[in-house]
Amino acid sequence: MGEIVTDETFTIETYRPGGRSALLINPPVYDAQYWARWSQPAGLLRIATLLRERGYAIDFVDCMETDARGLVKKANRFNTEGKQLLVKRDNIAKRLYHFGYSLDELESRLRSLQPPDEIWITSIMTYWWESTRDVVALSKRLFPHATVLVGGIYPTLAPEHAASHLGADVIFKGELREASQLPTDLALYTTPPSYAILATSRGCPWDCVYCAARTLNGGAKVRTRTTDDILDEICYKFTHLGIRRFGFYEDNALINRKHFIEVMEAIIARGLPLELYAPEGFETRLLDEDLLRLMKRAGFEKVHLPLETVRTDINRQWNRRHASTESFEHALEAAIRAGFRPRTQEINAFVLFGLPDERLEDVVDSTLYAHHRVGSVIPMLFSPVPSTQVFRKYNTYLLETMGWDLQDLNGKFLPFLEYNQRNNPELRASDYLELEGLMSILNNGKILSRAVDLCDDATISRAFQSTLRAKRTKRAVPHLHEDASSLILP
Amino acid sequence: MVALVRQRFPSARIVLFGAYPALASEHAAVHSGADVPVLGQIEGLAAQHVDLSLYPSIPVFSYLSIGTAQRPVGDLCEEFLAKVSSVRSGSRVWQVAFADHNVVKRFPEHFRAVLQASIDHKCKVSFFALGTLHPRDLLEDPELAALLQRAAFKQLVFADDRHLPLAAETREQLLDEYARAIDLCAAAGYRRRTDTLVASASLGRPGENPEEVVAFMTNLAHVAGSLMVIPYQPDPVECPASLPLELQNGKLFPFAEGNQLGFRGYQDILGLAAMLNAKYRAHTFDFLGDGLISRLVRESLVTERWDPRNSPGPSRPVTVGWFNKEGKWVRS
Repeated sequence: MGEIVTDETFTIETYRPGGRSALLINPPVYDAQYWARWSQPAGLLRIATLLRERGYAIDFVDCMETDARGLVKKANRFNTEGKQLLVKRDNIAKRLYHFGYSLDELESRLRSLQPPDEIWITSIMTYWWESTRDVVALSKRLFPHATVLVGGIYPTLAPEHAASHLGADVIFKGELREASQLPTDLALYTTPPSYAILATSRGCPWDCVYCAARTLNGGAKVRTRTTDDILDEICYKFTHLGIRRFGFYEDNALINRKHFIEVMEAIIARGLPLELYAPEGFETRLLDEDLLRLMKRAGFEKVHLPLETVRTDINRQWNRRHASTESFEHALEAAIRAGFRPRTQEINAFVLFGLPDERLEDVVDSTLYAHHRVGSVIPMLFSPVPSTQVFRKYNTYLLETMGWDLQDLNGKFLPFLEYNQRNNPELRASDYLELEGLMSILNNGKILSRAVDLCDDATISRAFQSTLRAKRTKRAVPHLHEDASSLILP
Repeated sequence: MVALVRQRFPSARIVLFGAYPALASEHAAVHSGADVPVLGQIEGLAAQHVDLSLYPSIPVFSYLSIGTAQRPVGDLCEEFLAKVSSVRSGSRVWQVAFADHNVVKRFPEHFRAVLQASIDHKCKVSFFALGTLHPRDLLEDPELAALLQRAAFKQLVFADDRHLPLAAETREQLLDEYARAIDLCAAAGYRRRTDTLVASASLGRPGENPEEVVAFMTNLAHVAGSLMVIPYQPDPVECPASLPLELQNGKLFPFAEGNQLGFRGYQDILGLAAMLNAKYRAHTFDFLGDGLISRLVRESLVTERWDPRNSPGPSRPVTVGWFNKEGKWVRS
């Protein structure tokens, strides 16, 4: 049973340079799919900066480091009998893969290192905890005298689970505030990454039912990092590591709009040719044309807008009091006036699905609305995350009625499928694949880099709608999903 | 190219042959600069072996051409086996397609002999039907789909509809043939709605009704799964004499204005076709399917329920503002 510590109860001593050593590990990932873009263990890399300042000698192993093509290794996972591990859900099955370094590769790398005094392991998604457990076990076996600490999102959201399941000595719950304001130490990579993750602020005043930001940040208060500090980090990485692409990972970057504007203006003033991204999106209510123009000048080529749903009543159910279709429209029009082109992936809209009690018609309507207004629809398959309102409400159902553990609550495995089948007996797991497929093909139907709009009044769209109206009912064609990662079951 | 070759080898005799001089012989004679523009086909050429040894390394792909039924079956099989098994620098052809249109009907003996030779010799080769097979071929010989599967036909791109009259009943008949042919292919082991079974439709014919074309393509994508749209390439005699040859390119849709749609409208059809053919996890989405999501999409599109102005529920005013550093709400 690991000891659970927090920022208030844990101290990092200062040593003479090299007086203590730490090995930092980002574990591999066990999942059915993994998206390697904009995935960097930013928290661990900030802790590296902090520990180095405190005199630690640092070794670092990122099992999820990408190759030159931006990809990570992928291998099938097998059970003890040598059979492919599958997650079977209703009429589909998904293969489980081991993404990143194999445990043998990791062991080989660790054996080449001097035994450290401390091993810091980051653990991101709560449903990836099993690979953290395996890395802790490996670390303990190879370096039995080292203190093993695990921090990150998983131990923060599920500290008791982490303490009882991982085998680590210390479970760090919450934020290590001293590290939050520090730059990530990308020099630890042998080949510097082509991008860096930045955070200009932490915290969000809102409390959407599915979001864990309040727990992760210790409340609703928003804290910002100084503009000079942010610019220093950007300039250093641009000058010394040749990094031009920066991704802003924020809880709600625009809550302190003045600060964000200062950052954008400072980037413009320095004349840095940067490519800026905010793949988590901006609160639409706080976007206007002037700000979007400024962002474009600073280097934003794309903007992501969290539509989530087109239904006002659902926004309210999700406690998204700040969100509405009107504010989405307002932000969209402002983005277009600022020079971001719709139907080209310069403007993108998130649509959320997979929640309990959702109506699939609402998801389809939201998808088509986003397709019509924006062109690029980004599917967000919901995972119930410990500490959120949804998780608290359905905790008993998920963990006791269904008998699941955290690894089963991965959105890709449709944790609310059976729950939603209660209200919709016709619903099958393959319908969620269909829904993902719909969003995907709506984005892929491009000609001359522009997505066709099935909902507009152009001659061809009207002809297509007319064809759907007059659906042929003569024959029903069986519909199957049989590809490598999704297997239809008898 | 002719000018460049002439400059480099001024004394060489330049022979120009192929579709261009065959179809636009006068133009080629006047404009190409070649010494000998070959007007029409070179007799017996299609029956000759393709000499892949001219390439520095053997290409992985090769066409097999029968050309005339007079070519001995054994000769064709010999060429096939030589291509797929000959080793030069460790390389060989491993992707093969028949070049002859309507090959099953025109040359049934040749076609089956090659497939059987491939099966008998356990050739490590993949066949591709690139518009040389018609759905009706499978209906007339119900064993054919299984034979294609055994012979390792990896992709069946069915012939397009250019040769058909465009009456509504013809389209209905073709859709029905497709549906039954795809059933046979699925029974033989081909996967529906993937890249292995592809319907073809031509687009941009003179006098076509674009709305009918959209309906046909959508239904074709429904029954066949995947859809390839081929811009209609007119014969020069179909085009106005005033239209330069280089503008008779099918991809420019030379009949777009006459069809009351315009180039932009044709681009929209191509975009729709790209959407109908787009794959997710290797499968296309079926807008006319009977599944739950397909039905919901149709309902939403047809009733415009996706438009929030058409849905019930209270609206909210737009509020633009932010929290300042003191945590107070400030309106913009």
